[in-house]
Amino acid sequence: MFKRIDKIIVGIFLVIGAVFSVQPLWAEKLPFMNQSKIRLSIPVGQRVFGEITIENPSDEVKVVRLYLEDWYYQPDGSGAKEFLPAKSLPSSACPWITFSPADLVLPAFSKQKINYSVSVPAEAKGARFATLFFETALGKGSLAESERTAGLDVNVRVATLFYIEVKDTIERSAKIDNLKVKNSSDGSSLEISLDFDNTGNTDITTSGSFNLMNASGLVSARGAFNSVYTFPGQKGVLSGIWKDKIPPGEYDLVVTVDLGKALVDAGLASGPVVTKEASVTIGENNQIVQVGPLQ
Amino acid sequence: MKKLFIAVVFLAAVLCAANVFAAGVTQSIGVTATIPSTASMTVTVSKIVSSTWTTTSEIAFGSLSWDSVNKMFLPSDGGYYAVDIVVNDTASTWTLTHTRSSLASGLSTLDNNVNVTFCNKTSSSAETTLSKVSYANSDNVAYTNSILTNSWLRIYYGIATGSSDASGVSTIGSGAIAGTYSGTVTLTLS
Repeated sequence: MFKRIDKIIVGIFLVIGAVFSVQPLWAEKLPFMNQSKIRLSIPVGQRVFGEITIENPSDEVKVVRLYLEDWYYQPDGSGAKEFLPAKSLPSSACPWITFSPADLVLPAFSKQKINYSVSVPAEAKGARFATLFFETALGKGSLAESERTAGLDVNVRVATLFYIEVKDTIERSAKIDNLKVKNSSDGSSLEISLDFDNTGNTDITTSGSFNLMNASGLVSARGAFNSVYTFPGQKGVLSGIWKDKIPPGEYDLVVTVDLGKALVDAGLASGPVVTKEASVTIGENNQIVQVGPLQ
Repeated sequence: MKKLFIAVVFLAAVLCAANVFAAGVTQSIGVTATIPSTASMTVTVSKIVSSTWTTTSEIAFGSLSWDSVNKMFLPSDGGYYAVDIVVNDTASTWTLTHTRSSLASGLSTLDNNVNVTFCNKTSSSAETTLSKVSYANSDNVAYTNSILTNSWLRIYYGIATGSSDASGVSTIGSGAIAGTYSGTVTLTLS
């Protein structure tokens, strides 16, 4: 009996050992910095200074190149980003940002501070955006000197995103409409969606929820909407789902969307919050009988 | 021995009673924790030849040799590459983007002769294919943290073999122009 237990224990240790021995083999650590997002609110004509710390966690010297680019959220509102050369977008904050140094040689296990400044011109208003990239080359191609060779270098870059708001000129507003309440094909869930349009002059990240209240004022269904990430003028879709059946009856759908999630994430202010209501009549098996206007 | 047992039971009873009395007093203990804002990646490039994995720092298909049976150029060792990317970003939302420059020699390219397969890895053995495209169509392929939660991204690069190639990918035929083909893949965490 003891022999069997011994074998099991040894087996467990072998498995654990194998797992931990595999991890370091494919773990090449790259330099990282302490701020992935910098959100600043700066009065016109003012200049703000700051610093980012970059750290090399590996036992090898790392060469890092720093440069600015423009960026914007992709139109699907998922938060995925598109990058463009510096100063190619009207919303570019690159002309406002300076930093030093631009090239780094980081000794093993070392840290270095990057100093930056952001200057807001006197006539500026609204929000501007930029990204500071920290780029490291994994290896340079050493293609053989034969007639037909092929190879790819791999570069890795990590972004610090800048969101620069010109103080006292920011409008954080949105249009939320086109409410759709649908029953799933098997009648087991409700799908709720709304169109979102950033009508302000700064970026908006949403945090939203819905509550379906019955005639007694009790919540029959509640859920969260996906977050939508937009720049001024961009649109997205808020989608939520309730995976259960709802008794037939008259309901009030209350939708709440916080336009200030990005501010909350940055530890700054919150809101504004938009609240909308619509009446919804539900029949048997989650059939949507009627959806009233959004108010 | 009996006395010792009684003493232990008595001590336990006293301690329990003390806890009961203490429960009547409310104490607030402030608990704070700050997670620093960091963004980092761990990237590993591996070469796979006949199921043997070797860590490397570049994707070098090396000299391509003519396969007279299948009428195509292939890596002489039959190797392909895997790039594993593990993200550690404390931001609420992050995006991992794959961009590339042309795999070119002068005006000739191999952009439509290389498969690029993006996979979601939840363990060393579990893998879900997110997309399989030609190298030409692998520019600006992005995945957010909602897709890569509790997992990591693995990207395979392989010269077309004529079998299970991505849409739009063809083998390197005899008409290919001789030369050294090079390009750059950039992985961006933002």
